[in-house]
Amino acid sequence: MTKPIIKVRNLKTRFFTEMGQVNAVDGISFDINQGEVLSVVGESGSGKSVTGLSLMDLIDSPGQITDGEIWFHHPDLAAERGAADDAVDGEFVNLRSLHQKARRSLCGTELGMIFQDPGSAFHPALTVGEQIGEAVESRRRIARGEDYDVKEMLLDLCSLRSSFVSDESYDEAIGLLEQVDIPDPIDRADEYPHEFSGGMLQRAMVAQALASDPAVLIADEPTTGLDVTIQAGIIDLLRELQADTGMSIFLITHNIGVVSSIADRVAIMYGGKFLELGPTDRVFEKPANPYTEGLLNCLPDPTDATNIIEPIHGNVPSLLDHEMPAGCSYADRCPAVTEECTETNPSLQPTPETANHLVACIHAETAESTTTFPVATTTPSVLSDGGASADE
Amino acid sequence: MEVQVLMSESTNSSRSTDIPSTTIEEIDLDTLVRVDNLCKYYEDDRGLIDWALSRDPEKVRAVDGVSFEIKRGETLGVVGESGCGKSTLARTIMGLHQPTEGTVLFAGKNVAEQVKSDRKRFARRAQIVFQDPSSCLDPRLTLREIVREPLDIHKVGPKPHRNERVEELIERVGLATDQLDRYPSELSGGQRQRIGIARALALDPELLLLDEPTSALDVSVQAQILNLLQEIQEEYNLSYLFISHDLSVIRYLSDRVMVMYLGKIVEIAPSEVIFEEPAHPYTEILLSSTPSKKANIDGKQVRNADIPSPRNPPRGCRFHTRCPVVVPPDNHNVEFEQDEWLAVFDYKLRLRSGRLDTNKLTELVELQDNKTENQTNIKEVVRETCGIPQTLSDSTAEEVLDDSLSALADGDTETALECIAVDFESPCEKQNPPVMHISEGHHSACLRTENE
Repeated sequence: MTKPIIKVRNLKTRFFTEMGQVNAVDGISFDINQGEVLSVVGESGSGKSVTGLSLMDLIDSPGQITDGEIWFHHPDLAAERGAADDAVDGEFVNLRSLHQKARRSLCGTELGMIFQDPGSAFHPALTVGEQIGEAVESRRRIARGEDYDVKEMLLDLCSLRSSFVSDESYDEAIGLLEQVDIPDPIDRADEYPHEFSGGMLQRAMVAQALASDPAVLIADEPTTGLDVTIQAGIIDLLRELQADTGMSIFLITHNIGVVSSIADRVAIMYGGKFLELGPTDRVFEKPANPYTEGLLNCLPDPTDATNIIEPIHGNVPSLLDHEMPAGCSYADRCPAVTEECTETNPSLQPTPETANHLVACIHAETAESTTTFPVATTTPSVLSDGGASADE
Repeated sequence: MEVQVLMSESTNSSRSTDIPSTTIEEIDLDTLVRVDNLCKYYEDDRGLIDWALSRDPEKVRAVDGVSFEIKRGETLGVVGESGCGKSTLARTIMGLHQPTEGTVLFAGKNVAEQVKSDRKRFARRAQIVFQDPSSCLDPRLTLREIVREPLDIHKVGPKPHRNERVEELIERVGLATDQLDRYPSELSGGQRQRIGIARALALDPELLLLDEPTSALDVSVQAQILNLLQEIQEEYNLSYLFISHDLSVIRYLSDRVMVMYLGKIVEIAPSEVIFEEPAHPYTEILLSSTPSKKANIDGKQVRNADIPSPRNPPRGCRFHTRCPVVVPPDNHNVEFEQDEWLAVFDYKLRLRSGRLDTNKLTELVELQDNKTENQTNIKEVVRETCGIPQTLSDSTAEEVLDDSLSALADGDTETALECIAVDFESPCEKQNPPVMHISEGHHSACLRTENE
């Protein structure tokens, strides 16, 4: 299946700090297809988590999405708004042109997210069942067209009803815990987060994200900090859920082993940009970008005693605007660097053999193509200034 | 003489003068560290209630009877899940903790006694590199002061020479000397870890304990540090105890590998053997759950994701609650298919841990639609929950199980457990698996190894 569910075009996220402007995400374009696992790999500070947060519209001050479009496949909403709307393109809706309220109702229901550290993502003073129940309850209320605003909250506080979560929602939460293979879900639902082990809590967070039956699950380093045996369990769970529900998973990780176990396609991120994007097997077998190659050579191989690792020299680059090089961000660490690299900034181009294998390197062999991103041609012209209108 | 030690490139000759001549004959010169039946228990403080009831506080058995050796110039990798006691082991070897039982001999001398009489002297011979380089460096000292500190404390050489030594070290670990007046906060994670290594090398130790030195680092930086560690090991003839939870890193650096589970060694073997012919089911699981760019996560997995608490570790083989190949009963009363046995064993574990009490059963039955809580239904639900087939292939086993299920349905958990206690008892629950010698340098503690 290659129908996209999310199309990201020229996304730019900046942080305006005292040190200067940080270009955390520096103009990336990609598609997430329906029912696929797309993984973003990169070192710390490459901007991969900010990409995930930008999709979810969770960028907070001093950060801001300054440019770009996020097209989400939502035929109902597109039809409701009508084709004349700037925010609509066929069956796609531009999340960035929607009003905050409409956007928020999509992010969190159609888009679910799980975070790296489940211990800090759960409220310590509420039971796990209640917190998952909350997610279920809000989905139900949205489906019923109910609002939950300050007025309702005040009414709730005055009423005798003790909880926001109805019994049905709580029962559904138990069902969700069962779905993510937590033993004794009934008892566990009544426990507090500190009573869970790290792996179990990560499963509970997956259950919470599943509560709204999302079309896309954004998983930000879901297995970092877990033991390998537990990690294997979580990866298995994600694979199963993906097969069962048909959702797409956008997996953010630094662990290449995890990527090769689960991802259909992989994007290599460095310095706020994608340097390579393509089918996982293809990228790992025949990396087209020197950075991907270097990254793979850094990894010790547990199945092979004779392998020698070759580190990449230098450090992850600074994302500060005034420190960013004019040319390729990898130029100062790249073994194949030429003078041209420091001057021109490469864009993603398809490789000659596989059309969906894209690489950003001026030395890589690329097919003859003038489009920066092959699918970008479908973007209507009105949208070129769509970013500006959405800034408000 | 101090100056000579400081300045000489090949310090191995001068090291031997540190060891009193009386002990030299007694020890095997190749062995640097020898650990014998080492135990380290942590005890809670004895509270008022404990005192009133005159009972002993609970013990956490972090390290529970481990024995091994580290040869000179070799790297011993230690791998295991969190809570298996690997860091406690390192700290006890360093003399930072007093062992509860057992001894650690460093070059033939007892570490605990050495530390008691002269900690500084011992510290010159064994150093530790910590996992998180940002929390182990003093943020208010410059890099020069950090690396110089051990030299000052131990009064190594005259002061002017110390600065030379600092510069030499800092260059050796791949940093430039013009960075010496910076503070740790100005460095990246990889650079901080290099400082941690430089500081550990300052006193010219013989043993470096590396406690997850790369787990906080990115892969490209991790590769740099791993290669640095390899180079300095050769250059200074160091011995490493390398702790990590990442098997691929362990394989890259280690000559021998020790696998720990809940305070015990389950397998120890040369690196090649561990990765090619693992003998213990736990090692196999660790290997199959380690993803790499070539191999997917596949194959065996643990049955039960929760790691038991080291406060109250399971009896017999500590891994039996999670082992996918737990040995069936050997009393010849009952016969099992492997799948059946695992399901029945799961039932037993649930009973034992109190996860099948009356409330729980009521809830389980309620989850099923249109079912009332009666004996047949409860039995059915329990079978379903544990994955036990409707009837077991062995009729005696079926009878025993049925008795137990009936008792459980009547709400008598104790009788239910008693019914199956004898007939369904795995040898893994009864006896501590002995450490078996498999081949040269390969030992494993699993009953299955013995049977084979």
